[in-house]
Amino acid sequence: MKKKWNIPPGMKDVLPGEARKRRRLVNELMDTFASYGYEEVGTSSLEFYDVVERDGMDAAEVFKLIDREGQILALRPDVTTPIARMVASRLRDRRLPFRLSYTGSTFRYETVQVGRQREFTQVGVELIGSDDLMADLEVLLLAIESVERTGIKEFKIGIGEINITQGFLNEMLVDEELVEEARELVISKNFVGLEALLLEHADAEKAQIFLKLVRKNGGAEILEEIEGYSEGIEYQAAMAGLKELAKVVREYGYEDRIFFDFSILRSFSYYTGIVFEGYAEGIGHPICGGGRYDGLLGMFGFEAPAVGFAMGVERVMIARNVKDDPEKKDVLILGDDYTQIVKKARELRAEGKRVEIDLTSADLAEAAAYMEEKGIERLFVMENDNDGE
Amino acid sequence: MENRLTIALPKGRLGNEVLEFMKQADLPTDGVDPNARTLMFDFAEEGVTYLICKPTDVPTFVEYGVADIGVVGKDTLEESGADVFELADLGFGFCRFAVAVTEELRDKHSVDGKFPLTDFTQHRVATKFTHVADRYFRSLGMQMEIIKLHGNVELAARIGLSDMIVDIVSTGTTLRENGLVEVAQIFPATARLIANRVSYRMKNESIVTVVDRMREILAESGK
Repeated sequence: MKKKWNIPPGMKDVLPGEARKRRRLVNELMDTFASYGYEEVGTSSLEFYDVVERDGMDAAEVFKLIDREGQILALRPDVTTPIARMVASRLRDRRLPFRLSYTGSTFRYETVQVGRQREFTQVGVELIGSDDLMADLEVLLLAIESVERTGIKEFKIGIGEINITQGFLNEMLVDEELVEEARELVISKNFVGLEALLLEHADAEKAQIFLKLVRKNGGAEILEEIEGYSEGIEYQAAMAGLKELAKVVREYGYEDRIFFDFSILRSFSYYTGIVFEGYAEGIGHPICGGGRYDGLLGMFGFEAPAVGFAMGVERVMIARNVKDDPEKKDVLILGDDYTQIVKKARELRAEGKRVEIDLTSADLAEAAAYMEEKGIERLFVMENDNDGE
Repeated sequence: MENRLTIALPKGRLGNEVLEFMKQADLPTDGVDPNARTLMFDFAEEGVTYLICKPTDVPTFVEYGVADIGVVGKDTLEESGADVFELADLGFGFCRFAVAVTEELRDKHSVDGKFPLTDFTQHRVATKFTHVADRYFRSLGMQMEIIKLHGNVELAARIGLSDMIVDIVSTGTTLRENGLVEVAQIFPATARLIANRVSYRMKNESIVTVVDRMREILAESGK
């Protein structure tokens, strides 16, 4: 039997048409980021594992390899952590804040599903050096505008707050392992398991309040309802921030795009404030996500507050479901004289035409068939010294 | 936003109980029969569609979003490993996962009336629920050879295909009739209301209305 050349599970070839569509989407998003003053940076696909480890992701989800010195390397599972590492080591002397944008492949050892592959493209921004609410707002509004730019119509951004949800858990459960267990149950929306755990380990009254909190989901009006759930200083400060944020979002005209959901925690452990995720019809996983992460840069020796978000390009492509748009070419040049052909091609390209030189056609009929298949509009036949169309 | 709800219901015995519960929760149920040949029931006015599926397929229908919510036993849900949101414990359809061995094996090895389960690492276990069994034995630090069967699992322990079985037990009659005894409980299972990850966000209002109503009924009945 003939050998089949498969690729590893969760990896993907991108063919013409789709590749172009993807490139255009990425460019559109990067241009949107640039209009807010974000400058593109790049980090390498491979990092030392002890850098990647700081994001708190399950070690089993990270692709690792060992170099010849025996050091463990990892394919980056996100770009935020490498950027934090880069900023802390390479950009720390420059004037804050930094507005950085990126696009690139990221890798996670996931159970493969539609919209959840092991290599996926992210585009995103990091706003580093400000803990002002304005920074949270900028990133959130940019996220909403970015999703709109992709052409997805039906989408919503769910907003949570680590200081509210995690803060409540920390206070109620104290024990770190229990907090982590409860956190996982909140993330996976296992309300049944969560209730069982809290009833066993937490104060019954507080447990009921917390269950109400994580089940709440809705517009700015729910902020009023949950305001009195805790007297804690951090809780109240976070609440004040969210109310201000909700007010600006409403006045900006994006009220219908957001909702609050205090079960949103995100799986990365580096978040410290507002967190958000975007959901679109037709795809089972968030199309974008982000939030505030004030402690991450500090792990690399440079204390700086930061907020950012990333969008999953493949997921956006599934959600917006735009059909392939194959590359159009303008002219096919046919002829025998190589010098004449390349000169003519240069001339036409200088006029902005997309020009392809014929390599296979024996006659005009064959050329016509080729043009039909490839979507080329015009034929240019170079005949000995007197050219014509 | 779209507010129609598609609900996956299990056929069989659990289906009847679920339907009764749906009725109490003010959902339209007239003429719905989880054991009929018709597989879809549509209530256009109320905006509800029921899909009748095999219990083991309920998590799949919900995970992939062709149903927004569904009702399924925790046993089936655990085994499926489906990535869905578990919103409420409906309290009925009780059963439990248990490890069972033959009476002879228990009597031969028990110390002070206690069966030393972990001594049986690297032995054989037969089950329909390979994922549940695998996770359970791992949590005890045991490595087991798991043999997948599709029914009448009790037979495996009785005739020596395996040293023990993992199965769901409701009253224990089947075990007794086959000379088997329960030596460990894995976890109890009841019917759960599950939701698709995206539907939960995009149709939140409709889903929460149903969940809240169900929770009220549960609170009233003291479950």
